[in-house]
Amino acid sequence: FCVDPKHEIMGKESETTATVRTRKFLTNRLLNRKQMVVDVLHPDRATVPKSEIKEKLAKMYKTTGDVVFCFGFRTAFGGGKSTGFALIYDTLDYAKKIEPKYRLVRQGLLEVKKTARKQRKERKNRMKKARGTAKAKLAAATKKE
Amino acid sequence: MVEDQKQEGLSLLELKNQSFLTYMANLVYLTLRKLKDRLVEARVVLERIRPLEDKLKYQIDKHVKTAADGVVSADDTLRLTGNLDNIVSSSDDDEEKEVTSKVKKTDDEEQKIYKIPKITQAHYDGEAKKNEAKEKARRRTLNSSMLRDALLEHTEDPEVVYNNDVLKQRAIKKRRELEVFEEENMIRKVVSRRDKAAMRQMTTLGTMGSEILGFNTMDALQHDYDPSAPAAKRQKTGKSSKSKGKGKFKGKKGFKKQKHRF
Repeated sequence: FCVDPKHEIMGKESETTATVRTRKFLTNRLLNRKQMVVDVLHPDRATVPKSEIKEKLAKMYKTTGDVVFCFGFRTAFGGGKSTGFALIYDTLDYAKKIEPKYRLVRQGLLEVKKTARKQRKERKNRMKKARGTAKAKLAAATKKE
Repeated sequence: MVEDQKQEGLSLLELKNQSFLTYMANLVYLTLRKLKDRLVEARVVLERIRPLEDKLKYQIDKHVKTAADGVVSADDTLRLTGNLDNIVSSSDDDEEKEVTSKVKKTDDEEQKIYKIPKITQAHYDGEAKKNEAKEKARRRTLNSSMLRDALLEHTEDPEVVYNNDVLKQRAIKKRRELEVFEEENMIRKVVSRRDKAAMRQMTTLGTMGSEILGFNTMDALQHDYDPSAPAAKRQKTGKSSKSKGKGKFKGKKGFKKQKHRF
């Protein structure tokens, strides 16, 4: 018996590919970027992940994928079409300066170190017991490494 | 008329050409005539004078009348001047002081109370409002779905079926507005659960039920309909009074135990 290549268990890329179209294109000289509304058509397929859309946009606009930031994708009722936004910066420096932190974290360009929630709450409760200069001392002592 | 010698008869286009030419020639002649004789100019001047004349009409008539009669009329405004003897100085008699003081008092009082300056007539709305309420009620019953269905069988117009429902329209409009805003500002707005449900709502019987199955009384179509008067109450039947009697005893917490009829 032959294995039908369509029903590959390993393959993630489904049979039908997605079409990416851009609308309302605007070159924002003040923020050194191009901003647009992105329409993705993906019949017979679940919502396309942002990384894939990023790669496709990078190819369309002849840039690297790391200056492309896409967000806000909403799938229309019934599936098959999603709409979102994308920003393409001139350089990575500008991107790092202008983009909000959470989007940089998503892209992997920024790391936010956070202590565990429990530790933070415990520290706060310990601080409540002290007052004045003692408080400042305690804060320095228990400061996160 | 020029005839095309190659063909028999007159070419239609040639005829058109010639008639156009003669028409234009005649028109130009007429215009020239008008311009030369200054007809239009005179007419325009006369028309411009007319409103000015209307404004001065009264004075002109009066002067003409004076000239015609030869005597100045009794109520001529030019003759009405102030009588100098009547003007008295305020520092004379005591009587006058009292009078003036009284007048001053009322003046003070009047100054405190704000009186609306009577420059023009004020618009009185009372009658129109009542009529409007009546009209509104009448229109509401006429446009109700009940009456429209009843009248459908008597009209000869073709039946039009619209695709949009009134309640959905609002939701559609809202959704479109939101879309435009979001795309313009590249931001996703947080829509509350209720608003989301409203935008996605289908017209179910629950939302339009009262309109489809409601019963409208024909009171508004009567001539003597008074919208402010309370609507006529339903006659109480014998049965309902009986059930009320039974349920009169009070329960533990003071609630009236009523018999529920299904």
